[in-house]
Amino acid sequence: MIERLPLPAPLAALLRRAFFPEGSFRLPLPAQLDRVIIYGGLVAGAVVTPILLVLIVLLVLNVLTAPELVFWLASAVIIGGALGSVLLKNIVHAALSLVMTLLGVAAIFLLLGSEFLALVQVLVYGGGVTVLLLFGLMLTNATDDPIVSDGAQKPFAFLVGIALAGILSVALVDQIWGAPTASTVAFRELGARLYRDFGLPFEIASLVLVIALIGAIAIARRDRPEDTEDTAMGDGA
Amino acid sequence: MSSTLRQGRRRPATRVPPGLMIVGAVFALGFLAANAAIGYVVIDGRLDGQWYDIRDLGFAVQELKAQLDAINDDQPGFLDDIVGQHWMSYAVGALLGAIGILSFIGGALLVLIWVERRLIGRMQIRRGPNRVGPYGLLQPVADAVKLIQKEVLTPDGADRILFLLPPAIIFVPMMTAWGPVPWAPNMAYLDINVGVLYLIAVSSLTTLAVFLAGWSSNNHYALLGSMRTVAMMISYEIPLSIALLSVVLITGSMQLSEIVQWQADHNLWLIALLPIAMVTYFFSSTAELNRTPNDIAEAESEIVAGFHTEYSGMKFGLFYAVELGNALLVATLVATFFLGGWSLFGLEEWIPGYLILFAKLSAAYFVLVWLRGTLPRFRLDQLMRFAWQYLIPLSLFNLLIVAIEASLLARWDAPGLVTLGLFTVVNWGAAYILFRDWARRIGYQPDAGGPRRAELTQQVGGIEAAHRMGTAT
Amino acid sequence: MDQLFGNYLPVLIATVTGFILVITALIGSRLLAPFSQEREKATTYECGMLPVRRTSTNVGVRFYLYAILFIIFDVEAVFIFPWALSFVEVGAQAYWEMVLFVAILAVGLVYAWKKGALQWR
Repeated sequence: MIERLPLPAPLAALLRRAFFPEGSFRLPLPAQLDRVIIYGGLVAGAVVTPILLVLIVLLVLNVLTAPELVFWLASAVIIGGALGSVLLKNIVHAALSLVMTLLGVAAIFLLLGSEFLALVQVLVYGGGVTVLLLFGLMLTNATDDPIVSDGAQKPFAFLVGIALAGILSVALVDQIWGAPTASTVAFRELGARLYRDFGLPFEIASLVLVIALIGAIAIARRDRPEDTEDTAMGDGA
Repeated sequence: MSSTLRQGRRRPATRVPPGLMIVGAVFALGFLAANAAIGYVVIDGRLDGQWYDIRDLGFAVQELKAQLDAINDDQPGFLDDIVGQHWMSYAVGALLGAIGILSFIGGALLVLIWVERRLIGRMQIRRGPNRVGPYGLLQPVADAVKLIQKEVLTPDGADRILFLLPPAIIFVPMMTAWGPVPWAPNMAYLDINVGVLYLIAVSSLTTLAVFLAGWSSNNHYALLGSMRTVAMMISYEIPLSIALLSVVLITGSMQLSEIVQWQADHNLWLIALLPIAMVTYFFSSTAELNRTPNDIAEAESEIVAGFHTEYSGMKFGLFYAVELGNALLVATLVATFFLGGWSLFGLEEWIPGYLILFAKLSAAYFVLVWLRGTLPRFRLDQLMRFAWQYLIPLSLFNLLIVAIEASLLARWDAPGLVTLGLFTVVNWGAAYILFRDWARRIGYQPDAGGPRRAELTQQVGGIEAAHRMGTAT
Repeated sequence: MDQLFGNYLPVLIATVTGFILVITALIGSRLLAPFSQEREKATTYECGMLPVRRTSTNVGVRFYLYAILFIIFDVEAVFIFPWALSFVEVGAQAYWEMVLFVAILAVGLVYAWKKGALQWR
């Protein structure tokens, strides 16, 4: 490795003696590096770097402002995550792409000036719903068998997806958007409105939570004698 | 199978090449110099009677701005959009602040590992690390060098991409969570007004990394360990949040600097007002940290090393560093929320705030070490019962009490000291009764016949005998 | 808006710095650590046994139950945050609303307790 560098011979010898005294140790060549790092880095570099360069050029040329830049990046993450969660075969990978989408939505909330919603999105969706989802996946054998078995449902799912997209698009197009106001809602004001004006919905929310709790217990707590510590890992343990 | 093995290359016995030592020495000196420079800037920055705001390290940025403006005069409008906005100086200030605080954390970690191991050695009547360097002081450095030289294995059948991710996504929340901590009146590089919520949200991302580490290893021990750990972490996150909520209630702010300012203004640390919240927060944090007594994740006698069984070399080192960094973070947060942060009854006029905070966080860290050296490990079922049946009801009850007190505090005209003194007495009484009676109510029986002291240690002569025999330092 | 953006830039910077540190550590270990391609080293660690098959991912249902409990109480804590900041100005009404809210959830907790869902069997 050192010999290949364009250095005068005595300097190269000195460097070799300083760093690799036995002479048997070479720097690992790229072929030995982890293929995941190499290919992942190449793909990421090839895809991300041009996009970033284009965006930075746009930023410098005053076409984009910095918040718009963040908006486009977050949108890319959201759309990429959504596509991944639909298309990836391995169901845990799909769940992780969903997490990417949810965190991207948190960035959008931040851009809209709602710190509270952004942090709640990270707390409840990034930390809570994801764990629920993954634990739910672990209940099944789906992670052993990464083949998607949705054959019979596929046309219906396709139809429902198209219909939902249509409805949402119509709603978006029909909406009369007001002038964009970049006002941040004060946190105190949010709480005051919630507890002064919307007390009843708030209590109903707690009732809904308790109903969810009772439902979960009713479904999950069947008294099955085999559900004990030593068979917790299934028969593979 | 063995016929398909390829023999690894034989390597001669390792010795540290001199070039590597020189590079290491340069790095170490640079690290020290960077720390000294940051310390100088921080101390020297007492310009207008304020301790230095790290974000105002933008003086350097202003110079840069002036230079860029000079260019901008030649080509008007070209750089306006980037340079003309104040977020640029925020960015550079935040970068410098992050580097400063991080190098502080790095240095503190190296020292505190040594302190922790020596202390635990002392508690267990043995020497701690004492071979590498004077008093074993260089042991953490030697450990780091050892870890970076070890081979990083990826097990067969592991999910190669997901196996690579967890060390990174467990490291980042630890880094970002240091942001809101105020080291002095203006010294926080992420002083947002939803600081408490931010801390909880950021630290909740750790569960994801733990789960992925266990799942992607394709190892029974790792999977079981990660499931246990995630279940424990999510259970203890709730009493932790509710304990912090009572801090928010009484101080009326979620901004960490304002919480500390409240304690400085009232000359009262929140440990006096909120003993239940303090104990709940501290214990829940040890669960979040996977430290003894809550280290079922790494119950080495049961499930090898838990979720990072298959991680070796530097990947394991990252998990280890995150664990220590989080322990330091928890000690800092306890000092900030409950022990008054940078305030010390007016003495902060004379002593730099970050030194006061460092003294307090060392005390909190000592308690963490003490717990680790003293308590045995709990079983998982005990831990889950403790979270759901003991800590959560207690902290909810505490929240309602503190809410009454907060509204009284806002309405009463009595002098603050009288009101707060009254609340202190009431809260400590309530804490004593609640802790004792609720434990008995859910079935705790104090072991009447058991030994009251560490009798075995006393019988063999205790620490004094060890000293006489010269087996303890 | 600009203020908010400036506030959260440190998060971005700390995140990027964290990733850079991790990548540096891993690359440093790549350069310094030995690296052999023996297959037997990479077998899953099972205390000396050869693993028979892939790890079965079918684990007990109680983990799922705890996750649901966690989400419910997490959402509760999220509701309490705005309350904690504003209930003093809203007054007694907000206090009793929260008492009712916590009481309803406490009923749920007691139900789970009585059903044995909080016991780790």
